[in-house]
Amino acid sequence: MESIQHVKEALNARSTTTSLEELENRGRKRVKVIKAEHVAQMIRESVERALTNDDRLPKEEIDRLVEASRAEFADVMAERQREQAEYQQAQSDLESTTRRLEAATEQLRSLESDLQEVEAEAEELRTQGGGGSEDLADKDAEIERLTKRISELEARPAQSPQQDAVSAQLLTNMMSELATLKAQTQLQQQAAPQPQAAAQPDTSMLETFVTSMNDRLEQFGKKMGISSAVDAGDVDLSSMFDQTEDVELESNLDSMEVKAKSGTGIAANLERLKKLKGGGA
Amino acid sequence: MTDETNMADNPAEMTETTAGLCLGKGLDLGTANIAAAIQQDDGSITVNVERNAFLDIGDDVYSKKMLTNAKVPYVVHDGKLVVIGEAAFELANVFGKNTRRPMADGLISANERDALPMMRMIISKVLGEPAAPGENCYFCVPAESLDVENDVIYHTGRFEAEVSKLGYTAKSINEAHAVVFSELAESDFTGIGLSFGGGMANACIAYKSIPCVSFSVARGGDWIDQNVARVRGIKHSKATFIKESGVDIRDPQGEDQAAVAIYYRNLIQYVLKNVKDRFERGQNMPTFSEPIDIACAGGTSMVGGFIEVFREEFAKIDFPMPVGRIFRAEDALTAVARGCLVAAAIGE
Repeated sequence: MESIQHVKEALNARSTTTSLEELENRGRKRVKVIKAEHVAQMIRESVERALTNDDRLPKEEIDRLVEASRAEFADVMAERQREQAEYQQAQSDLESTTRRLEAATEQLRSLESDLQEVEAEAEELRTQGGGGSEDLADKDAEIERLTKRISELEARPAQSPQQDAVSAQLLTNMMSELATLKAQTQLQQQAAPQPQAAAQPDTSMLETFVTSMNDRLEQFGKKMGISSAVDAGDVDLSSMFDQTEDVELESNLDSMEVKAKSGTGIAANLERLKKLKGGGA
Repeated sequence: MTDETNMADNPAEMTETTAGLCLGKGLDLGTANIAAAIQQDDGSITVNVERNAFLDIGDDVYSKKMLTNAKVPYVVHDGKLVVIGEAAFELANVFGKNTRRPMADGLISANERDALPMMRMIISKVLGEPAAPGENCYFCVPAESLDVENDVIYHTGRFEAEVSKLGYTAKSINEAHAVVFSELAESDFTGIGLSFGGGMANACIAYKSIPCVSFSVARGGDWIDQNVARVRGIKHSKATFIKESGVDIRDPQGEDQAAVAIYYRNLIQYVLKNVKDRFERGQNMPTFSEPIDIACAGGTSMVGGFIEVFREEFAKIDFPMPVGRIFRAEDALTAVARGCLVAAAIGE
């Protein structure tokens, strides 16, 4: 039965599927059909007959050869199946990695969006006047912690699946912390007293935070290969002509004489042209 | 030697030496041949001509020394020996090969990536060093074609850069306008200049040296060769060789020559029909009170019987203006280069 399965697989691998309509279009009204079992049977009989008819081999040797061939075939089949399984696993890993990368990219975009909101709110806070020094101290600590997290994220080299998972987790944490920071800012804004002309809020820390976050997100985006975050510098096209510019080619042209012909002079033509242009005698 | 003591600060504007000779060189960048016209101290003209073709050969067959001894110019490019110019054409015929061509249909060939370095070497060889820094060099360019989509802008810009790199002040001039400069002096540079080149036929109608209309058709000597090669089952280079081996298209000898004659006549009819159509349907066409001359030039017009067949075919069409003389340039191969030289010397 095993041999029938092998023959079926071999037939499947080497055959094409054609619809009945296509066959009819080609003018075929009847087709002959043969079962895989019959093909296997024919092969087996042919091999055994060939071996049996060979008087040089005793029956025991023939049986041993047949058995050895079957074992070898089984090994080859097993190897192919292993390779197929490995290929499927690799495909699965690749898809999984791609999904994680897409998720991380999406989170990064979301993070950038949140940061812009925080930036806008910080600007608003700055214009309206901030809270007291205690609030700013708390915020300072938050900023310090966030900056540290970003540095950690930035320092991680890409991109094993495990590392991707960690990066995604870090990004999630960052998003969460930014959301917290945003909520705190909103609360602080609501609780803040009306600004007084004489009392200028200390906004330098917020500005530093915003600048720092922008710079680091820019760097991180570049590392992630997000096109919008990558500077598009001037394109240097000079290399297009590298092959043709300033290439000294070895040749013997210096020692060759070029074919020269004597031509009629152009003095008369020049004279007439000068007259025509009013510059001649 | 030219005297350079009176050169102005702007060399491009100074075109005359103390000996009264005008500086400047003319360069015909043809599909089939490259020719440079140079004025000598005694006022005579020398035209250096080289075929615009090359051929790769195996360096195990011909050593460099052998090639040099045989006066065969070569270039080593990408580790290959490349024979350039007329020798490439001759070798191709001996070995039944086709030459490679840097230009096609009058313009830089997009199919020959190796072509530009070869062409640069040929230009440098025929043109030589400038007599003075920034000497004028006028090179010819084709006009846009009536029958195919082509663009001469890249071609013009590329060769302007190439010629400038050799130390010249490079300027382009229409190929058929150059024929007007070299051949229609007696008519005060009024008439029709026709340049039958390898890749194209160019036409220019000029009045008092000023070009009124310029155009081209994308048929020339190569078109004849391709068709002869196809119908006779021979190589393109072989067809070129037959065409250039003393055929008289009024009296062809054998089937190969008959094929050449048939396609020549067809080319002439095609060009005349397009010139006539252009005159008839064109707006702002000049009106001439006197019959105008038609001057033919270019390597493709050098075949025996060309001008006679041209006159025969011209007589068959009802040309929309009176025409006086129809003639071929005394030296049709170098006429464009000489016209470019006239333009360079006058600073046109």
